[in-house]
Parts: sequence; structure tokens; C-alpha cells
Amino acid sequence: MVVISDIIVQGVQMLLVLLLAPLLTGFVRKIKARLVRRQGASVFQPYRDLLRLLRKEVVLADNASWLFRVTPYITFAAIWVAAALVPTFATGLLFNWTADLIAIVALLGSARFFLALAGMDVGTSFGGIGSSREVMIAALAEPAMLLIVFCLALVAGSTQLSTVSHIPGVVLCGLKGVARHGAGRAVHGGDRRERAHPGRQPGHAPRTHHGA
Amino acid sequence: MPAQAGQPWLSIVPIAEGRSSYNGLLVMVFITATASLAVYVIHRFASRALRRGPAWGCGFSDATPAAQYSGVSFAQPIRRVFGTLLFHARDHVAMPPPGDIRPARLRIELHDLVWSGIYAPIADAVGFLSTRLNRLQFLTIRQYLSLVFATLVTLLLVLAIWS
Repeated sequence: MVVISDIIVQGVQMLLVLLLAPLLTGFVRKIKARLVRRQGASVFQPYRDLLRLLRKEVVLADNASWLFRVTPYITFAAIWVAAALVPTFATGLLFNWTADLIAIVALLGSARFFLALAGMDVGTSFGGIGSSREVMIAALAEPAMLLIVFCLALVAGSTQLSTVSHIPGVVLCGLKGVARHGAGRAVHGGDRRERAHPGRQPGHAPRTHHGA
Repeated sequence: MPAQAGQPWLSIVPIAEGRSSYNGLLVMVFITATASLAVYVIHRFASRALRRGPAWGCGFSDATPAAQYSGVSFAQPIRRVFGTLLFHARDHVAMPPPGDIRPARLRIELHDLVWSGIYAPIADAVGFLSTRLNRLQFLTIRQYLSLVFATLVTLLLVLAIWS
């Protein structure tokens, strides 16, 4: 029987990753603004954005199907599960034996797959543009991410995340950054579901790919 | 070791448990549970209102099936990124001037470089050689007998000199 404290540790780790992801986004934006000599918004601005967007109503096209309605939640859940498997704040998590590094890349890829499907759901060519660009970026970025995963696994001798995190000298910051950025993007993306088209905001174009 | 090691139910362990293990059912249950939790939290505490409106196509919402994304158009970015180098892929668009009743045409040109670079030269060489050697089928009896005699003499010479 599982120990209650293990469940609590897993739950707290998932909550912490979720709550700190917008902070990372705000921090990155602040640094980007300061680098071009702007003041930049506060690091907590993404939280306010999220709260504002969460309170909005959903706007769907007339011919959008159930897939369009369901996709933001599936994307968010898949990326959150992937982030929950990465030992950001605690190792030896309860469910880290259910998936390893390769399955995490697959989870992020399946979130992207649902996003591409939702883009083509309504049938407008604008959504098709977004979806085809999304899969082009996937074809370029996911082999790169898998190569990084394999490098980590070669160094650590295993793809199990808790084993990888216990090897001294293995820099997990990149992987944690990918997981957190992915979780932050999912939170942002999930709360823009009220947009009638699933494409990108023009300013979001450089951040659409899960780069390493 | 994790708390549930040793339980074989629906888990996949390809090599060894310390190396990697998978349990797809649990991951799916995880995803479903978190998605349902997100749905519950958002619908309960934020907003569950839904409004339907016309589809927005950036000003180009043409509802005909011809304007929808097909497989060819979906693959166009990948074709441009990878195909330009590997397949010499080129898109040729013939757009008639306004007022012309001819339809616009898109022609996609692809070359299989492995076929044209490796297989086709070998096939051409084999064809060339066989065309030249085909003359052997149209010799006279005297030429055939001379051929046999010359081959015999050559082989005997080779045998004698080699040993």
C-alpha cells in the first residue's frame, strides 16, 4: 500500500510546478525587456493575465466540434503530467516508474498533436496554416530533444528520471527548464481557448516550439 | 527503488526496472484525472459560459471544400524545409491575370535523388552493355565457330601460363 506522505509529496510537487511556471515566464519577459532597456512588466504579471483570461467566456465557432472544446484541457493535462514526472523539487516520486524521459517527450508530442488537430477542426485555412507550421517545428525540434534525452541517458545509464537525477554532475537545469516552460505554455495556451481561432498570437511565434 | 516495484500489472519493463519502465494505463489515468480536475476547477470557480459565433478565418473564411487545407497543403512547410534539399522539391504556381477564366494551377515537382543518382546510372549502364552485346545474337555460323575456337585457345593459354 502506498504511503500517504508519498502521495502528498507528489501532489505538492505538481502544485509547485504549476504555480511557479508563470513566475518563470514573467522572469524571462522581465529579463528580455531589461535587455532592450525597457522597464518591463512585473514578474507577477502572467498571474494577473491568467486570472483575467480564466474569467472570460468561451467563444466557439459555429462548426467547431467537441475536439476543439476538449483540446485545451488535454494539452494542459498532458504537459502537466510530463512536468509532474520531472523531479523538480523531490526525487523518488510515487509515479516516476510509469514513464521515463522518452515518454515525457512523447507526452509533449501528443499535446502538440492535439493542438494541430484543433487547428484544423474549424476548417478555415488560417487554422491550417497554424497546424502545418506546428508540425513543421515538431519535425525539426523533436529529434533534437530526443538526441538530448539520449545524451542524458547515455551519461546516466538509464532513462528513468530518478536515476538520472541521482547521477552527480548531470545538469538537469535544461530539462527542468523545458518541463517548466512547457507547463507554463500549457497554462497560457489552455486559457486562450476562448479565441475563436486556434492559431498563435503574432507575438507568440518564437515561443511555439519546445526547444531545449 | 520506487514504492510499487515488483508489481507486474500492466507495466512494461523493456530491459531492467532500474533502466526504464512504463505503465501506459496509469499515465492515461493521470491525464484524465488532471484534465477533469482542470475542467472542474475552471468551470466551478471561473466561468462555464459558452458563446457560439461565426468562424474567423483572418478575413478569408471561404466555406468551400476547395479552400480547406488538404494533405498537400499541410505538408507544404515540411516540403519546403526538407524537400528543397533532399528531393529538389519546387512549387510552380501559374496564376492567370484577373479577368481570365482559366483556373490557377499548382504544380509540385519532386525528384528522387537516390533513383536518379544511383539506380538509374546502373540501369543505363546495364542497358548500354546489353545493347552492344546483343550483336552476338546475329553472327553467322562461321563467326560463332571462330568465337568458340578463340575462347578455347584463350582459356588454354590462361591455364598454361597460370599454373
